[in-house]
Amino acid sequence: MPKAQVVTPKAARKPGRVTIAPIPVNAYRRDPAAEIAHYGKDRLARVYYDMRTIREFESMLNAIKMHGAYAGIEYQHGGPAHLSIGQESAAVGMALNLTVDDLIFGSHRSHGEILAKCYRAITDLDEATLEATMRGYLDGRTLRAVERGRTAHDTIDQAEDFILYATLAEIFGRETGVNRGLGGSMHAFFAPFGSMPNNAIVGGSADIAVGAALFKRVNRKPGIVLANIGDASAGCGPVWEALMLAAMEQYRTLWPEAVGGAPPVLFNFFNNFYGMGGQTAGETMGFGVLARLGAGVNRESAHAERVDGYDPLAVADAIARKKELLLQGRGPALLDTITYRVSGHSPSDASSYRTREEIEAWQTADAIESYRGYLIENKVASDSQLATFDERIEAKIVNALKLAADLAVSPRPAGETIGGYMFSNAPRDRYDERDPELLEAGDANPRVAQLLRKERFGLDADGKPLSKMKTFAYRDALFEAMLHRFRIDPTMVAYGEENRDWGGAFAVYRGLTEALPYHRLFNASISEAAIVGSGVGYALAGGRVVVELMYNDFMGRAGDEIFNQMAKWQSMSAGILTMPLVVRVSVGSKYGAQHSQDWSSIVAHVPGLKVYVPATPYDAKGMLNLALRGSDPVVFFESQRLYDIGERFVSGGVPARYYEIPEGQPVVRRVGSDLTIATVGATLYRALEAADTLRDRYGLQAEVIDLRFVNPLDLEPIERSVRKTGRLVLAGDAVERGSFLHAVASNVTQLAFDYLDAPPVVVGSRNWITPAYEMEQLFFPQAAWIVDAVHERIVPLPNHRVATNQSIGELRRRSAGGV
Amino acid sequence: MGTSALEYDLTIVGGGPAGYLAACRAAARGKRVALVTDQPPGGVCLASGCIPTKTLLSVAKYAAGRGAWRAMGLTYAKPKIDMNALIDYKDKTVAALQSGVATLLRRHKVTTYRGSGELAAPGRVIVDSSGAADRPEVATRELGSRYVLLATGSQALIPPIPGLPECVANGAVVTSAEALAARALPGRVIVIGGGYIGMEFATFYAQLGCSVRVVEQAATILAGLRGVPLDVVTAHLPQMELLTAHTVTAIAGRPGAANLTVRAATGAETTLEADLVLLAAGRVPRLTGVVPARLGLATRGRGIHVDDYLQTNLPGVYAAGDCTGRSMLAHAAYRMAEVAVDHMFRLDRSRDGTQPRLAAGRNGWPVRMQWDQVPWVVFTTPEIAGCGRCAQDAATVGRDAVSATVAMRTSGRYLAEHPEEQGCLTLVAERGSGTLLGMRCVGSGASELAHTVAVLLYERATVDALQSAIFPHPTVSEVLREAAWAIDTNRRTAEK
Repeated sequence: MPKAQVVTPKAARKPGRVTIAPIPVNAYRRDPAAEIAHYGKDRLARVYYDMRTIREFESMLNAIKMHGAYAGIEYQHGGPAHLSIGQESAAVGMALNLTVDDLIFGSHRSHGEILAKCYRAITDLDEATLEATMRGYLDGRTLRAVERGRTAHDTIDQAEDFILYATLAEIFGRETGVNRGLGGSMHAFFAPFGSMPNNAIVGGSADIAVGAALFKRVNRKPGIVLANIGDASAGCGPVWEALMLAAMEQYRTLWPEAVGGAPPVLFNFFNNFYGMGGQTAGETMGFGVLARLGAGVNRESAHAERVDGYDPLAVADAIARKKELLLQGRGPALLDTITYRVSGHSPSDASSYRTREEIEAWQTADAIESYRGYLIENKVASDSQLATFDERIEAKIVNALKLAADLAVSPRPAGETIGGYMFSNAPRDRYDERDPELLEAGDANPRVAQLLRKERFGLDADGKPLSKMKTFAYRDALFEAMLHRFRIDPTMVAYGEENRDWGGAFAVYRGLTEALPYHRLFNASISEAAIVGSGVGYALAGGRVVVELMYNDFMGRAGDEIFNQMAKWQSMSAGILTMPLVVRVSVGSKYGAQHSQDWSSIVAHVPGLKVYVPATPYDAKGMLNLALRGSDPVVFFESQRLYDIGERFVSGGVPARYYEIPEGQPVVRRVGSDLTIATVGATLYRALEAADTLRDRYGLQAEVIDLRFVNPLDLEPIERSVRKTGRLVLAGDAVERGSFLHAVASNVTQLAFDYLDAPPVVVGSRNWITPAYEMEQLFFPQAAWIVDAVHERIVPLPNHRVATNQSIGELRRRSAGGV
Repeated sequence: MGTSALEYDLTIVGGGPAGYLAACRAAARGKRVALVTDQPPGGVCLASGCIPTKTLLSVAKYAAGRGAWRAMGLTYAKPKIDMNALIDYKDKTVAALQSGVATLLRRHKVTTYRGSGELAAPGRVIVDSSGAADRPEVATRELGSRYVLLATGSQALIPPIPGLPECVANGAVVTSAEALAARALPGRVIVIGGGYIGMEFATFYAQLGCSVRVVEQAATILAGLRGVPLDVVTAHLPQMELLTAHTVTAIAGRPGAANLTVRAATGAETTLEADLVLLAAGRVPRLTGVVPARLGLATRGRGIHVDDYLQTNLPGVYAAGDCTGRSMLAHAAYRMAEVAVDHMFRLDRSRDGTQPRLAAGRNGWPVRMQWDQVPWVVFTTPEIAGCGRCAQDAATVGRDAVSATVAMRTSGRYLAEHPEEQGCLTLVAERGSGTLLGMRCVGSGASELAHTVAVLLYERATVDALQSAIFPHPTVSEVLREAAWAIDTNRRTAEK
């Protein structure tokens, strides 16, 4: 616990000087004799073979994009092809000393890395494993397509054809591709060989790789994890966040020694000197030498060095040395692997930002030609042997292209299948069979003991709320769900801001510190992007993870990670990956504009996310239980207005036993006949107040429905209610403009048009900033707003005096004014 | 705050056409109404607008009509105008009407508070009577009510012309209110602004023999009146000089002797001298001191934003009349008042215990302001009147328009009585359906044709209705019927 590490003014204020560990630059020196002794001649020749394969593969794609044909085979490819001609040596060198257990995550320009990593794995694995992998992948469909091509002379030959074909079919969007054509050029990967998701968002792989490395560390899995990212990604905030998260001191100071130290992650910057057209060193960055970044990371300068990526053996050597450090728990490590993209950013790039002379200089220094010379000069391989390689490679690429271009062999996925991959919907009690690591057993936990004395139903015999001290509250319900799953799933970890010791800003985790070892519950750096991104990496590597961002508003800092990573990897991988990641956020109160927003609508807008919004303690536990047994990404919305509220609806209160809320099912909180009020989140209680007013003053019996879920959401219960009442008001804390409730209103109008007396009305927060606490009643929907909305837009209430203006004229004015 | 705690059902701030009519309409429904006004009830319309100008214009018309009568054999000596008697008569008329309004309010048991009203919050108006001579003992008091209607009217726009504020202060430049009180005719008059107020005054002075110049910034006079044949108007105007596309760049002087510098579109500047300069650059809503900024009352342009039921953005607060900036006409204010009051109390009529099952809340209530059906008249000689849309504007609201223009002389009565005048009337209808869209008329009697068209538009009538109705003969109104028969609603192409 950090209490043991005292921050003293004496130490903090002491004068001195920070020294920076030296950062080597291109330190590798060729030693042919040692290299032959170390790798053997076959392996060294194979390096040439792999590099030539990538060169030919990318040249083939270039020809397809530029001329619509390669080797007489015509094909039009409309999608992207970010080629890496010139970068082959860096990719093959990177893979040379990696095993199948080592995972690589890459970028939009990763065809070469996929081929390098998979080719390396092919020569590493035994035939039986290779055959089983190919036969089992996508139910053997890909293999059957490969078998319609050239006849392979052995398993390795076939496995190469398999990888070439499956990668190309993926690039062409075919259902026989590595990700059934749903990933495409920029996202293709082949997990069985340790090639993990490649990312079209610059730097997107950095924090995901940290999460995968965290999974390896926490779950004692072999191997390291590489984030193969570009030099331009050094300018991306999440990349820096990833470095910070990977370099936290606690791994070595506070975590149990047996866990093994820091997550084994290597930030491998493939530095080709350009981010599209911007020149990093010289124009868009200030680091000069990218490896300098390491100096800011930790006292080891993240073991940073610059490596000559035009020498595959220099890269391989660096990777081997870093891997050793990482396995010892001394990470993270950082490599500035220089390389050069001779081809354009994409085939449409006219290279207006660099000179012909510059490109020619790198072509002259071509790594493949130079390596070929090295092999011949050192008698590792003969010229004719290498020429045979070249012929074989070309034949294999022609074969892959023929198969991939042929719609009969490689059909496109049927559109509707995409829907089937949006969610995995595969609940699992545990992601590993080993015993969960816990600090204590059973009810020894102080909070568990305290909760035994609380009333699990929040109202007294007269229906009045019990005192907060006595009541089993919403936060307690969440705690029980967390502890339950922690005790069952050994892979489950939780982290985020102020999670350990503090117990979370809203005291949900109070008591978990006593129950869990450090590596299962810890405080992260204030790095929202990396917190969520690492959660993505942890989940897709195979573990269950709950990350907490404290306030909803902080999701803005993790936009890409939530919208593009967490939401999309299940479907972009065609279901190969699962994403058992829960992101807990809280809709705040009292803290103004940047701590009080409800973005459930924004999150719901992005396909691939489940969105839960429990409003009662019973649901809080039942819905978190549901999320924590699920296999899908869930953004779990809580509310600061709810944490200390007791259960008021389910008689008997919140059960101590385990239970789940049926997914997507709204619940009727009060039965009525004249009007339906449907709410999301904490507005439920204000809707009930409004229902009281409508009943007591105007004789209207309102039915109140708590949606509970934003996605998925079964509309049928709302439809059924509206068929009865003919009137619908929807209310929630999200601002009115773009509120998800408008989607519900529109859909219910479609479903029950004939039954409606008036168009459904949405009462949301004002399209403003959230003002100070004392003025919040001007911003968040209040009971009176709902009553006024009923009066103005649904059914006039005799003698009603409006407290707010909910008229359609006002709706029109606000819309025209953008407020 | 419960309803029972409120003194009034409705508090109205402003005693002009919108304010006093709203008071009467609400009171007629049995509502408790408070009216706060810092002026005698009746507003600008009575005190210095519609009514006094019509008094003056009617005399001027007779004075100037000699030429026309001569053709019909009637000659008489140049008439003399006694300005003192005219202004006295005008004042008497105004006073009679103002007292009529006061009586009306009393009879309806409307409580009138003299003083300025300020909206403290929705449902709360503070009356400051410290400036009112008749109630000096009550300085301020607060009125609580279920609804508030803001009807604070408008005031003359003082454009940012160098020297103008000083000249308005020293009386070298007057607005319509002072001009109506002047008991001497000036020799040389310059009217700043060629809108309807400016042109009515210009007509008055010209008909009484003054030398008149009108300075107008826009390319034409009456630029705001869409679809009016301005050539017909200018052909009949009394002798005056129209300086259109001219900007006043500076004013200096004292009462009876003012100098104006005007700049033509070419950039050339001229200095003009005048005995009287009348400022008629337009009117702007009068809002100062009525609603504190902290309440966040929404505005639209310079006026208070209202919806079709005259609701502002503040709960239970309505606005009607000139202060909305939507239409600065008394008759528009009347209708706004009625619509607002209907919206406030419509539901109260059905207080018989039954639950009204009206669709869509108050959205669909039929009594709403028909902004595009407000008729208008310019009391120049000849009169100009219109209602609804002109053919050119119809397309902007998605209507395919056809129109027909007929000479006023198609009416025998008109020809018989107006030997020199050549007015015309244009009727606009939707192609195909024949639904009437609007009317424009220049010519004596135009003012009494506008309401007919207003009724037809309200009823969404077609050309067929006008063709079928029987008009009395001989009347000028027959022109309208003629136009209905002249219009070809099946014409292949719409007018642009």
